[in-house]
Amino acid sequence: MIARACRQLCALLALALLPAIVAGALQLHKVKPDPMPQVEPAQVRAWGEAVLLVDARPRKEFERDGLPDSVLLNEDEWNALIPDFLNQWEPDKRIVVYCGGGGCQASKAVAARLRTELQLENVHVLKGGLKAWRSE
Amino acid sequence: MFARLLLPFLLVAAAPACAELRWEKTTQSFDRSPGDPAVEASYAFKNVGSKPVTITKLRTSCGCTAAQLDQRTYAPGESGAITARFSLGDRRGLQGVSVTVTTDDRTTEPTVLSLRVNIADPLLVEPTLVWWRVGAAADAKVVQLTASPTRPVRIKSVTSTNPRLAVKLDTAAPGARYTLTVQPQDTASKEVAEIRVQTDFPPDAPRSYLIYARVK
Repeated sequence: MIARACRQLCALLALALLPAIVAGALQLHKVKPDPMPQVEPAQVRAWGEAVLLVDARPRKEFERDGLPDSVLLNEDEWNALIPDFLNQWEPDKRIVVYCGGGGCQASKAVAARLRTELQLENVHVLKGGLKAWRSE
Repeated sequence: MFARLLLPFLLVAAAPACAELRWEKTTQSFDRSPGDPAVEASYAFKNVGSKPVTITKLRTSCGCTAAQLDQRTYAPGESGAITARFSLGDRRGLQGVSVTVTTDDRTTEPTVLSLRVNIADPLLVEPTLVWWRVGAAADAKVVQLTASPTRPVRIKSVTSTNPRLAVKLDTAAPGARYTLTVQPQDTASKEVAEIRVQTDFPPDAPRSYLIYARVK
């Protein structure tokens, strides 16, 4: 009797685990390493003036509370904003792109385009975005 | 015996993810060209539950996307739709945005509506920036222009805003592959140039591409 109950329990557990194992395997297969280097706010501050801060948010947000000395470059107005970005850019400066923080993706998208389309090196994404910058 | 064991499991697995609102589809994909202003997608749903459902929150994944709803509360059996409008701006390549829909039914997780758009440029320009350091060797730098395999794109003209940064266009395969060579006269001082590449595609409104050249 007990043995039968144990067998039933094992069968039920196996059935319940199967979808989780399959989903987990698929998820592992999908996860790829993030090629874009992320940098902590403290590190950016330590770099001092050898940094060009790039605000990847919409213009309204940049004008509202963009960081001092940052330059606006977003995908909404990429073509119009690139000349001004290039005027500010200096080859020896590190580029640090930020957006609002948390799960925002704009900084990663802008940083990726700077690397692939303009083939600039030394491009970083600010980890945690503005939220993290202001909380430190 | 096995069927008896399997039954509860199957019943749980068959239950819909959202018990009240049933969505026609939660993911939609589109192809667009650069210059297209926006993509609009409608996500239809029906309240298949036995009580009214109120949509309490629509959260978009970026400022580039707006979501609209005709009404907030849907009676049992009533249908509706959420319209998502994704402003493409100057985006390129594969784009993904989402709208998260929260209802007053606390027993269900919010539904994520996905919108995927492929904005394929008919001409790939690599890179869009060529630059030299002041005082460095004034070597020629090369920009590759490659048309999409399915659509020939011919280069009609190439112009530079700065005669001190000369440009030369070579045709590797007409309508398919071109090479642009950019070379400064010297790198003694800072220079700025915008190089405009005029194409014949699309025929009704031919596109031009900008390449930036800098001596920094």
